[in-house]
Amino acid sequence: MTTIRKLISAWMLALVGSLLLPLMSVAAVSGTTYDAPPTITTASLNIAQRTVAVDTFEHGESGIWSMASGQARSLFGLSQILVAPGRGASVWSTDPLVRGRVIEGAVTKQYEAQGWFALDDLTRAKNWPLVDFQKGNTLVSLKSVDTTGSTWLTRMQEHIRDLGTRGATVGDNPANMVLDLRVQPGGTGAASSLVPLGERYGVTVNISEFP
Amino acid sequence: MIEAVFAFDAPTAEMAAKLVVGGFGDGLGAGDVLLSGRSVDAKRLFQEVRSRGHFDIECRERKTTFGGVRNFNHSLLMFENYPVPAALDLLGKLNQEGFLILARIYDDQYEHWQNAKDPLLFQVAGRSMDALPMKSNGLPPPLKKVIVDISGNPGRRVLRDGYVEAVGHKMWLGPEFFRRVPGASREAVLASRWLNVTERPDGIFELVVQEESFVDDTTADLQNRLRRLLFPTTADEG
Repeated sequence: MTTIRKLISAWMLALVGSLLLPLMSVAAVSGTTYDAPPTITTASLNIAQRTVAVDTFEHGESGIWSMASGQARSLFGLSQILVAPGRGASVWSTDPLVRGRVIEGAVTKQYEAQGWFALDDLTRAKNWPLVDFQKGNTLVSLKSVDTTGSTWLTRMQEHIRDLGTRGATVGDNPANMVLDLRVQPGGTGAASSLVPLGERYGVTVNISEFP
Repeated sequence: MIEAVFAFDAPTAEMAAKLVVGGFGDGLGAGDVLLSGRSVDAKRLFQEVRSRGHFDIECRERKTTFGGVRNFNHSLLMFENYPVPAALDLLGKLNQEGFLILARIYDDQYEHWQNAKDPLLFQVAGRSMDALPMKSNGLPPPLKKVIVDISGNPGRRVLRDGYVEAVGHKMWLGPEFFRRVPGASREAVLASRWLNVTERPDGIFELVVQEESFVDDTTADLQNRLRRLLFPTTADEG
């Protein structure tokens, strides 16, 4: 009985949270003041079938400012509000799912500004399940990893072999396959072994720090 | 290290994995075989390999990796810490359908630096790039950057459509090599007195250029000569 009561409470909390999240996002963005004018990038997250606005800041520290009081995460198909890092916290201290989406949102802006085509979920699912951006004959898969973790290297090695094994063509021509890997400040050295591995499988691995 | 180049998807990853695991005999216990660093039972291993189309298998300190390079129409099978006879035995079994293109032994460090283009690799190792030729990587922004031009390096490894252009002090060439590499000639290889060439019963040519691995530029002339013999139409392209 206690368990059922707890589940109902969690569901109620999630329901209220899901209704409040969009309002909190808007309120936080409009009500925040800054020492220096940052560039605000808004990324749309689709978490547990719910779209949530997340803002990140170029120049200086990144964080989920608009969600200062919570992050969204799926729990038994419902949304749960978790404690998020406070103002000024690095994006690298957030939940990996949220972090990935935040970085993808910011990096997408960089690519789009240079005339790249960002492949949306629908296109990606149909044609290039591993690819995020396309320009001419070049296809880019974007990943972000915290190299202080323990499993990222094996996952990235597998991802490179996935990209090489699946391959892709643009207009019947073999594509230039690129893995754009964003790591935490100071993390490029740990990931450098992926560069020669990528060369072997026909994947150019470009490693850089975020932000 | 030993690198073998096969036709794409021939053998399949599953076929290669079965031969690799089978090569260790029947005495394997739980935890003896790691797939991508995880202990898995044989059934699960082959299921995952079939689904992925590539693998990274470790067993008794020997490591084997397999993966496709679809855009260049070939697959790679890499052996690390493998005795050469054991690797050759596997290559012979995998070549039963005649799809071995080439295999070679190489020195890992020499290969790494002969093919290092990204300035990050030099920065991490604390090596200077001052004397090295540089060029653009040819990618559009924001990926565009200046990289090391390795096109003059005798130990360069170049992906070509259907094969890999690279040399080693010991090499094995399958019949498919001569079908795929433009200008490559069995007769020219057999006629090269500066090589020790043996044709095996399975049709594979074994080439021995010298007994030790290529480890530096003191053998550059030999490496370039071998490259021109095996890859006559592209060896001087860089």
